Amino acid sequence: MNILKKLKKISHKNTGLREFCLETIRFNKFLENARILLDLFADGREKVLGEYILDRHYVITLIERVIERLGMMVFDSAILVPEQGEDFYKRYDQHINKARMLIIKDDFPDVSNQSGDDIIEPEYQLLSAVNSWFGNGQAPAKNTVTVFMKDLFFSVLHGVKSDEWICGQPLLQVATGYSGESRFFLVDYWHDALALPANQRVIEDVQSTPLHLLLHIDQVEEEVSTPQKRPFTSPNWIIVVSENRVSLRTVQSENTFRLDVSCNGLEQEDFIFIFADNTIDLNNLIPPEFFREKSDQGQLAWLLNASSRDLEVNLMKIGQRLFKQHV
Amino acid sequence: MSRMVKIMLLDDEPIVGKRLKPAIDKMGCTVEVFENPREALERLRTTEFDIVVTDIRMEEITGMDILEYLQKNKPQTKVIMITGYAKMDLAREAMGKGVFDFIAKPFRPDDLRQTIARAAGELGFHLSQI
Repeated sequence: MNILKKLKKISHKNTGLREFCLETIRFNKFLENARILLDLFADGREKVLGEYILDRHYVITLIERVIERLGMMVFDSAILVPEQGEDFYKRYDQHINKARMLIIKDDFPDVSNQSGDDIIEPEYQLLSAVNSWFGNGQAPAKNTVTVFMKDLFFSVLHGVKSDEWICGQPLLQVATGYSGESRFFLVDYWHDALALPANQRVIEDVQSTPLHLLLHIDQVEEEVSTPQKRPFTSPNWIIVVSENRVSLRTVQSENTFRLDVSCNGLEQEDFIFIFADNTIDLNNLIPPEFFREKSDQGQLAWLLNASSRDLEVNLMKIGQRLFKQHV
Repeated sequence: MSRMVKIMLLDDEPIVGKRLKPAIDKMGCTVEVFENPREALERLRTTEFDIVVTDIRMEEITGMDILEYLQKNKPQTKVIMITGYAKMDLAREAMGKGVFDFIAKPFRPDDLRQTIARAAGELGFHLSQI
């Protein structure tokens, strides 16, 4: 039995907390699937440059893997925002049809008897068409997988409620050293879903590597210290943690901000993900190496494939800018 | 050795032979490219090849069939298998049957050239990888 099923089976007086933990776990899955899709897109971009020997089987497998992983993202989204599930699946079906068309399309010119440097083999033509469908092309296009993913992100991020009830749970409030201005409510999603803590916790007692990087800003090395004006303030923060994960979000705040971190020490799996409303100036918060997307629905930013050290430094910088008052 | 290394390249996807032949030619080898495994097998019956590079997954006659034929009849021939990344179970089976090495698609021509150079080295040839 996997951990999700175990959690569902547990009878808990505070069912809201259990649901909240399940929702956080599901959102983590959503991010993992999105991350794998981005890796698949990058693989397609790299392979189309012509340096590789590939065959049609590779391209078909790439399509199938994207469809499979996109389906997982849609599944996660439909659980997180059930009222939009039907719409998500309708659009997913359109992408399945598009994938099918790409696979059965066989009208690329036969170049087997031609020679010369300008000839593009059918496999590369197919991969190029697949990359366009992904949204890997230079020009922005509609109906790409990337556009669909962005829509899923914004639907989920706006659709998932902030669970303000957590702020009414005194046992979840933790002392961080910055509580003069803001209150921090912490949920350990593997343990608190089973039972609330018996006593009020302090941050030092919480086993979570990314949490300590984010909040122990007094221990930040000199090189990380870059005084900045705080981009925004929030009266309340919810922090959801496990040993290698942190999900930090504002609640009962004028600003919407969310930060999710995976910090396993594995470059291929770790990431920092940020969602912020458009009133927040991310230039004051995140280093330039982050990828960023902005739309009228908000801002997304993420850092992938960073070394453990880079991830740690970036987390400390973000924590410092979010919580330490310099100006 | 003074003679050229003789290599058979077998893959039913035309793009593979088309792209790889020039890359292997540059190493100073003699390369024959086949897309039809039946024709390749006929050629193997009449001609000695030092190295056979074959796709593992083909219609009718597979890379495993080619490997088994060579192990039985021309055991001195080095066999390099090209595999799709979903076929690692077959790759493991081939390893037990004496394949020299694997190379997983998609791959760079340089990756194959290095493997060919190693196989040729075991046969007493010295090949340039450029």
